Amino acid sequence: MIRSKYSIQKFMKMTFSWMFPFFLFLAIVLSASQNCFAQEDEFANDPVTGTFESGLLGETQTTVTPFAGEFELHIQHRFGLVENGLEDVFGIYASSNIRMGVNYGITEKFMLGYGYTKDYKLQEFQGKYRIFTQTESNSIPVSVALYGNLSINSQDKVVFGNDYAFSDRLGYFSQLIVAHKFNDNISLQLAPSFTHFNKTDSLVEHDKIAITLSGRTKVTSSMSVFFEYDQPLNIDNMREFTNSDQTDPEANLTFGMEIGTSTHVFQVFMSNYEGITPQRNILYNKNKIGDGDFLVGFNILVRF
Amino acid sequence: MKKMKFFILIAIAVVGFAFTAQQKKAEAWKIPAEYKSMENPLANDKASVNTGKMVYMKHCRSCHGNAGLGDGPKAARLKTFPGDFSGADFQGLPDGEIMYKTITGRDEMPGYETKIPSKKERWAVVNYMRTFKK
Repeated sequence: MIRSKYSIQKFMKMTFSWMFPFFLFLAIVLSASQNCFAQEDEFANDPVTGTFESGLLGETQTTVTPFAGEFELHIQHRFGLVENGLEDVFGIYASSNIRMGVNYGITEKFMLGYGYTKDYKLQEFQGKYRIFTQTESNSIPVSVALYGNLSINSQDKVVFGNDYAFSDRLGYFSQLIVAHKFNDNISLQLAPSFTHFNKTDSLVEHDKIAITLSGRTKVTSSMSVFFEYDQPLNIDNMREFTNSDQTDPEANLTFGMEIGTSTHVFQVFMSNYEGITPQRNILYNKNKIGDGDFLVGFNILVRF
Repeated sequence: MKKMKFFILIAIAVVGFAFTAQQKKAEAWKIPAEYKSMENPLANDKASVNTGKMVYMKHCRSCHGNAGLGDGPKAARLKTFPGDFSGADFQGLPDGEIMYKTITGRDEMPGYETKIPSKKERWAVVNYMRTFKK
């Protein structure tokens, strides 16, 4: 395993060179397109609610946070790849990955959470802060949230090699989430992210910027279908090692259905990702969309 | 021995029925005067009915039923009958009173101040419940 040559400068350079102008452009376009439909009623400045059913959509976070004082219990399960067909009943009898976690709404806009994931014995701490919330009149055209996740690999230290240090266990994921609710039925969001591991396997980069596009549409008043596409940006001039393109992580496609009630959210979907934790998914995914490397997963969320 | 088993079964059934609580009718609800006279800002907004349906199906349907008859999947487990929203008694209530009851809740019915924070959605639910009128 190899330690990182920290490359936050690269991230900052990239952020300001094209990400910032892109989001500025997006905000202007949305604002201009929506203002002509702006409502001039007493609800005009009210925040839009129900952009997404919960803070989790398949494999990605959304701009939604729990209410102040609300607990969320998450149970996330990923079966094995469906490639073996009936031999392991489309991955149901294959080895699986499981995460259990709890989130708590500190305020209306800020949540903290803890979870543990079976693969790599990951202990995670996460936080999300909603910076802006879209308004009914679209005077604020998008909801924007910042999400951060710190994972601690709690496997035996032998795994990390001879020059072990505690920091080798740490992996970071940060994401800016921008969402727009078009109407009661359709919501979309775009989310650039930055992943960093202090120590990775040989020839695996320590840093990765990725873009996630996701959305949902309601098919009945309580059921939706959703999709998610995650693209790690495998850009040559950002590479840490020569020839590291051989270990480039693969993109992900998730699609499925969601049922939301007052106290529960159920999501069943197919996905290429098996890591559950975002930093593992972004940096280590080897399942290819084109090869049909999909698996079945589900998320259960209980609010109390 | 067979007679003994038969009598034991009958005894269990009788005791079971004796302890089965019958659903009671909801008691009168004191409504603040400001809500009784509160105007519904979405009174003529037909588009809001669809929004109200989504909110109703998510938060209310499980007890109050698809058509507001008080026959949702959870209704039978409640001590108090959830009410018939299609009848004249309910439909004769002012919008503000229905909104107050919906959001505030009492006893077995939870409050929805935090789960339905949008005022627009609160009135939209009232508009949807108006469609239950027979």
